[in-house]
Amino acid sequence: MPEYKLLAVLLTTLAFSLGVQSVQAGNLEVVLKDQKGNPLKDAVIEIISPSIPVPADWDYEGLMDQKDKEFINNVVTIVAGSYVNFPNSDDIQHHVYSFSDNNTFELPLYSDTNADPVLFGKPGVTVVGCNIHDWMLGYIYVGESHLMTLSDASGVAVINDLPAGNYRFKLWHERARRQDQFSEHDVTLSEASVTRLELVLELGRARRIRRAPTGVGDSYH
Amino acid sequence: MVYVDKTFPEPQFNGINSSCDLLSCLMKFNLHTCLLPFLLLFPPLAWSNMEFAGDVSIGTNDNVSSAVSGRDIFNDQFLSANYNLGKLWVPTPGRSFLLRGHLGLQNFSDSDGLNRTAYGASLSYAHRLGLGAFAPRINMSARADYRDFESNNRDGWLFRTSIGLQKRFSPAWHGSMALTHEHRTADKDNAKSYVAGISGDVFNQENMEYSASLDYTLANASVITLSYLFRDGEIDASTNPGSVFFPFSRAIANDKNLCGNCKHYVAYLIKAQSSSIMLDWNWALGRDTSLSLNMQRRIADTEGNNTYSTNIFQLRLNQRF
Repeated sequence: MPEYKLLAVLLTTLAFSLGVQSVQAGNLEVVLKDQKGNPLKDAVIEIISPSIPVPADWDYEGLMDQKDKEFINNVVTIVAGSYVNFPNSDDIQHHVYSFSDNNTFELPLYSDTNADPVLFGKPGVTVVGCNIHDWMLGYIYVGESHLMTLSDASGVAVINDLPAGNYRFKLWHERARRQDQFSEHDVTLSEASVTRLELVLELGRARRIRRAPTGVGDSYH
Repeated sequence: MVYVDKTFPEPQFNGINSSCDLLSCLMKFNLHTCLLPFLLLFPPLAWSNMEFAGDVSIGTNDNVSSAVSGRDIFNDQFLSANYNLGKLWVPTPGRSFLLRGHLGLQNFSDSDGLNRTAYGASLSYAHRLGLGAFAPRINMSARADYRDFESNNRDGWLFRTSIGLQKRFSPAWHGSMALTHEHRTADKDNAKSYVAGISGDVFNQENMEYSASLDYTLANASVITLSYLFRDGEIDASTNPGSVFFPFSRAIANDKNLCGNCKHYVAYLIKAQSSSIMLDWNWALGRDTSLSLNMQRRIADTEGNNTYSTNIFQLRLNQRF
């Protein structure tokens, strides 16, 4: 009988521990700030190690809309191999293109939803512009993993349901200095439900083509 | 990368092939007749894109009459407003046409004779030599404005045709250069000759302009523009009678309506080469709104080795709708 009792205890412990293992899946919360302490919006966090397979039912699609001559949600994250739609919600045409090495493409002069979706096969960041409205600027972050997210307006990026363990993640932001682009960071997820990490990213100067007019003679013509 | 879009046919102008032809058309016929073919040709190609822009400015000019002698020089303040309504066509990638209507007003504090209303139209064509914001662009344009002054002797058309090249070097740096021909007309009958036997046709003028500008966007999104303009041709100036310029003047006319204290003023036409340097500091107040502080210094060397200098300061609010 004692053997059966011991076995029962062992099985109960095993079952309990397995149960705890699933309960132990927690959330990684990265709080991002710039060097002045301001929250950093639209930074990308991507888990790169350990490699976790993309779920079979993953939706390999992305969307970058255009409205009022701007890209709406101008940073989009997708997994490599995804198709991105570039609908045009303006009542004028746009001409979307990218010169980025990882995914060069061009969608000449279209309106509404008349452009074919674009395949983004290679990981990296694809910079997107409009050939008519030079100030329009968007970024497609093409990840190798599906475990990635964007920071919100308060600078918080959350990846849910990660088992406890050691992870390495990549951090990207459009204004990060060149040497800090795609910086990698290690984190250990404890058994706590939320593992919180604070990072400061030094930003370079905001250099982009200005939209506001400089005089009555100028135009985006 | 060269893209050929077979969805849109190449535009055919059927006789109006260049901005120069538009200009000669404008000189023979009225504006409506000349622009009609363009209006009729473009809609089949078209998706349309309307743009409405304007500016309001206040400023000061320290030598309104372009005089050379101290006793004739006076400064004045002005208020001006310009509006334009344009329609953009992009028939094929990288090629666009912009048709605009213009309305401008300028009022001086004392120099009532220079108060004016101007209205006109322009057609410009832009061609990108490649894809993207950093591709060089060639611009060609033709513009015609009728200017109606309070002093009627200045009333007339101003025709400008230009060709220019623009290049963005980085998100911050942008440069441009242009060559412009200007032809100003005025009704001879409105200009009363001051000296018998010498023409009073002061405000018919021809000029060539060569300009270059470089602008730099600072980290705070304000833009500093430095421009240089060389102008070769004719200028008019107003002065009290007895000016040393008269021997070199091609035409002299009464100009008593220039200002309240200008009862004896005469205007004269003289050949001149002028250089202008302009510094503009522009702050973005919103997506489509900006404020500019503009300083311009113009020095003109005329026949007879005399020199005019003019300084203009201007504060301008720009809005694109």
